[in-house]
Amino acid sequence: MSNLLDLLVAGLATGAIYALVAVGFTLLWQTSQTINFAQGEFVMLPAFLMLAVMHAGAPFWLAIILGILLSLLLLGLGFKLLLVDPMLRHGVLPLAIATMALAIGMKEAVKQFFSAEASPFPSIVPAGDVSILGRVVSLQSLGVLALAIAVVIGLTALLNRTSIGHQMQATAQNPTVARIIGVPVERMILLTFLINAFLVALASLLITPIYLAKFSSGEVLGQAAFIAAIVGGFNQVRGAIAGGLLIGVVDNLAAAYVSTQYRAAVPLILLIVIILFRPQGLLGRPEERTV
Amino acid sequence: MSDTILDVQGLVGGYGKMTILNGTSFSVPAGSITTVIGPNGAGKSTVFKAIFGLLKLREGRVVFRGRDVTGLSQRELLTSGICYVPQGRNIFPELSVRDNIQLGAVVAGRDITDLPDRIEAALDKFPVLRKKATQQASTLSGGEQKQLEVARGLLLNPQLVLIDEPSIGLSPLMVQQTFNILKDLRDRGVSILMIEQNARSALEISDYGVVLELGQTRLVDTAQRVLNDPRIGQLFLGGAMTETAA
Repeated sequence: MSNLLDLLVAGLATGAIYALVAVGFTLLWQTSQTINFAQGEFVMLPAFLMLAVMHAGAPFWLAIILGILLSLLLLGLGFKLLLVDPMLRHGVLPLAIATMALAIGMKEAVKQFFSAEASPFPSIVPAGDVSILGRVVSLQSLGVLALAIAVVIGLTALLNRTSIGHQMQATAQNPTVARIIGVPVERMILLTFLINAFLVALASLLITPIYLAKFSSGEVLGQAAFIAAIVGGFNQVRGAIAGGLLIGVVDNLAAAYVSTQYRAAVPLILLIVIILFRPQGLLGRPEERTV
Repeated sequence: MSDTILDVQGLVGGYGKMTILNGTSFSVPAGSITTVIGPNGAGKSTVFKAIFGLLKLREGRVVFRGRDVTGLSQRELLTSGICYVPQGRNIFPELSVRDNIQLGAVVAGRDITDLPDRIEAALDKFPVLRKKATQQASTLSGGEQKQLEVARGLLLNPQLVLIDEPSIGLSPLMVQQTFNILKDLRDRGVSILMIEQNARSALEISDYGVVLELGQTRLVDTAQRVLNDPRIGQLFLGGAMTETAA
């Protein structure tokens, strides 16, 4: 029987990964009205890019670097230039549907060209257990949690403490005015896409050793990130972080104490409850409409 | 009559196929408050957008301090000394008041070495903002938000401030305060081009008035004479100025 501490750590660890994905998700929404329904597949793909590099004979560390660079190129720059920019002209909804199509395309492409089977993926955190307060906790969970928290803290510092971060927030909160006071809005939007690509690549690196590399793994991840973003508050980075952690913990506790059968349902129930009683999300701000 | 800081010459342009500006021309004397008035749809805000490079012009020129600045980017215009405070709420609601002000210097990048001093000076000038410097800008009242926008715009020490409907949605007291800020700026040598729906109070603090109608300049004169012109009331009550003009 697993203990509560271990469940909490494991939940926070997966939750921290969800948070990374959800933060990228809300950043894209804020700066360019992109609801990226392919966000889960964006987490699925980098692991396969890294595996492909390793199959070509490269060591794991090189595969990580190349995988992240390829993600920045494909999921950051390529996604923005080839899909978002042309589609956004037609509206938010056509763009959202295009991202759904992209999700299917990515999934099927990986299935066709790589494998329909799940592949093992090496972990950057060594396996093993450590003892905390007399309880045994998995080193991998702790490592994942520590890394994800470090990235989230780094990102928050970037957004809140630097001029670039303020310019990104300005672009997200009021692009027209940002342009008028001289913020290079286009560059800030591109930066957001690159940050999202980096976050999903990192999430991929952290979560694939746990769930294995599988073409369909994006479905669960994308849904978790989507729910995390809505639960936390769609227009708030810190909301996405809180939402991700909450979903991770709730998910793990539900699996242990309710039933593994109903595990997937619990976050959805949480989503419905939040939408009913606090539609702006836990930390969100109601969207203002100017008259 | 003093030197001209801004010269708007024969602007023609609009949105899509719709023409809003139809040969708009006027000039802004340096060190003055010049107020643009006119009925709804006269093209007042559109002129500002055209001056600030936000509207593609089919014809015409914008000359700032003797230099053609037509179609320059916002960054170039800001660097050359023009700032634009549009209508409505133009703040970043989730950033602190101080961070909002600081963003006013974004174009200067590292060229400004005394940025902290400038922010302090801005906060000194607007005590309300100093009191709430660390709060989210969304917590400010409408009048305070306007002050924040002006403070942000002044960070680069502009020579010309374009300000669109500063009094909209403000209490009479706040309107008076905002106008006092503008007068104070003018007294320190900053030129101001303002749009106001609240024509009478605006002209009372202005040096010059420009009357626009259907995208054309109908009248340019001292504020006093525009204020006393009997045709103005007519224009705002729905009549066209051309019909009554002799």
